[in-house]
Amino acid sequence: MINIKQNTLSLIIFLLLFGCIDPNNDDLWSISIDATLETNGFARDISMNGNNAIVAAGQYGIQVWDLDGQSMVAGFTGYEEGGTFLEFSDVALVDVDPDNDLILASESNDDVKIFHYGGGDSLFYRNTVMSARTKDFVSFYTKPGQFVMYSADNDDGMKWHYYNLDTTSSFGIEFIEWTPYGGSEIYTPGKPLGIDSDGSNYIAMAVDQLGVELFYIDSLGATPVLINRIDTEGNAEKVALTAEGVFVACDDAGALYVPKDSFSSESVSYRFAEDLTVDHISIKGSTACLTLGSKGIALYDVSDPTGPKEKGIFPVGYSYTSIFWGDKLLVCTREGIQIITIEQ
Amino acid sequence: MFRFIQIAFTLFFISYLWGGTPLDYTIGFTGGYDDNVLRFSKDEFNDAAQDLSIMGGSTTFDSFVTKLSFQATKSIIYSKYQNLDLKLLFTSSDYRNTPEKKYWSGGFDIAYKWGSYKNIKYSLRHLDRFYLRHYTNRDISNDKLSPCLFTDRNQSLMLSQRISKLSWMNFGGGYLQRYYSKPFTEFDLDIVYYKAKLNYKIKKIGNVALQVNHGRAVNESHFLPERPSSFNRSYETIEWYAPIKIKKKVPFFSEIGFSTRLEKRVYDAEDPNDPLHAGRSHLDSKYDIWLKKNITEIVNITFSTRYRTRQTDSEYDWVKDLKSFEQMQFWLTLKWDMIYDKY
Repeated sequence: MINIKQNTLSLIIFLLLFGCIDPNNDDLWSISIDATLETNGFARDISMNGNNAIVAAGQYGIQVWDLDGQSMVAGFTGYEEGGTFLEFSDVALVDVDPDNDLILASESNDDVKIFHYGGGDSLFYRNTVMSARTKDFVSFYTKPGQFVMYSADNDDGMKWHYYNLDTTSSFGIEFIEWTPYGGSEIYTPGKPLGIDSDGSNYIAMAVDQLGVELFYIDSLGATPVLINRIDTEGNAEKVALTAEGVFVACDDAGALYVPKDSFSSESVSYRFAEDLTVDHISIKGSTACLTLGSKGIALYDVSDPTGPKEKGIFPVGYSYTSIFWGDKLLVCTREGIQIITIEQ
Repeated sequence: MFRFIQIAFTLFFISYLWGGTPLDYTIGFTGGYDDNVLRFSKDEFNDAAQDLSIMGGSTTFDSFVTKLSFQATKSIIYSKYQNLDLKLLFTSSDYRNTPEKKYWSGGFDIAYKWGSYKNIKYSLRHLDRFYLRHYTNRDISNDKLSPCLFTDRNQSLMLSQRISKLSWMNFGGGYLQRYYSKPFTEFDLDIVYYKAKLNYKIKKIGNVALQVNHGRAVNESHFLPERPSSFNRSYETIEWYAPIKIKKKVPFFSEIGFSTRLEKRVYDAEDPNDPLHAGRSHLDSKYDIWLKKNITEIVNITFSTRYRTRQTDSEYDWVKDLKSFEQMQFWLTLKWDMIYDKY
């Protein structure tokens, strides 16, 4: 009788231990926010110079952050021009040319301002290039004292020029400017909103309701030749160029991938994130980060760009743009710069 | 699931070989009707008229249901003083008008008895891929709907003890794992509960019981990385259940029964970003009536009906409206009780 009780008890304990089930696992990625660098103003755009991040901090101005130390190296709420201090109104775009010690910045719907920044806490205004309604731009160092810039000008089309360092002296005062050389303006019936280039052979430009355009260049600084324009669902706002094709952020129509070949042959494109409002796309390898405004960011596996796989939406705050920095993802949000690790 | 089937069938066949006792088994067939399979609120009925996709593969709100069940009981050890009984259950359910709702459930009991109303029973129940409805998969989308299914594994240990000549008590506890299929794994719950039931036999009438079940459901998803779906869905629950069975002096029928089941559930969530769960509670009430008729010694038929209503309370009126619903179900079950005795 004791044996039966013991055996029954043993069986029950055995069943209790082995009767459990395991949970299912989603195929989603996860993220961890390593740090949030508070920029006071909205972090609108970011450009990297080594481990230093140059941040377009909205109404604050321009900030330089040491990402390793997670500390602000310098913050500029304005600049001096002709002896007058002028405050930034809303810096929305930023790029950096470390070889020429330049920060290139644009305020909302404005032209592009060139600043000399050699480190420390001094920012020297040089001059203004391009024109009003510049929505996006990319620049490439060509040689000491020279760079080339391509801009998406909302009312003029694509503008591009070389800019040369020009130093003159008059009445003991040294005038330093970057003056345009060559280049031109390429008309588009669309309204350019975003531009990207690989700096060697291709330039892609988002032209709002008319879609996305791909240009070919023989080499950096050569005249861009339009290959084709492909219509997109919704408004093409920003582009991210990769070796194989172009990713397009189409606002409330989601996102689109267009292989480069499609511009010269059949207009094949692959739409994804259809129900999301996508403001910007950044790509690194097989990872795509879509910024979604108030919804945060969405990550996609683009190892097969013709069939991106959704890997999760992450509400990291109101997000504008993102950039990959080594293994980290930097997201520009209203709260500041979020340094994020993606766990795949 | 494979391990579960292995365990169940091993136990079943071992029990078949042992004991020198007959095998009691029951085959049942149920036809039924559910008027609100997807548990839609009034607002959702209106929404579905505008957007059929929220109904998944269904084209109607209601559905006919068929169930096929099998149950077998065997005493492995049988004597005047003690029994060791094994029971195996299996049911296959098919909602004819709801394509996603086809599932099986089953389990087994092992009960050691040492006297009248004196036993200890281990139960394992498995509910496989039970479909709730289509929900928005907020992990990846703003409006992409996916079918939401869960699997239950419920284990309990219950002790029965006689209190008096006419009353006895069951008490014990259990562990219910409610794990959702992809892509809703963030809903997963581990529920620990205890249960106590007081039974009273009313002479020459039937019996009556009162049961209380208190549980704590723990949802780990809010510890997951930040996602729109990563909210705390943990809750406390208390359920009262009171059945009355009348078996004697019943005209025509062999048994008439009524029961009331009231579950009060209170969610832990207080996150203002999660208005759907924050400060939410509900009272889920189920009222059952059944009429059983023994047609022959081995065949019986049972008609049962259930009215269910869930009243949700929340700070937000839209949540109250969204999560409150009513449901009616009707069932007709035909059962054959048989014995296989090779001894």
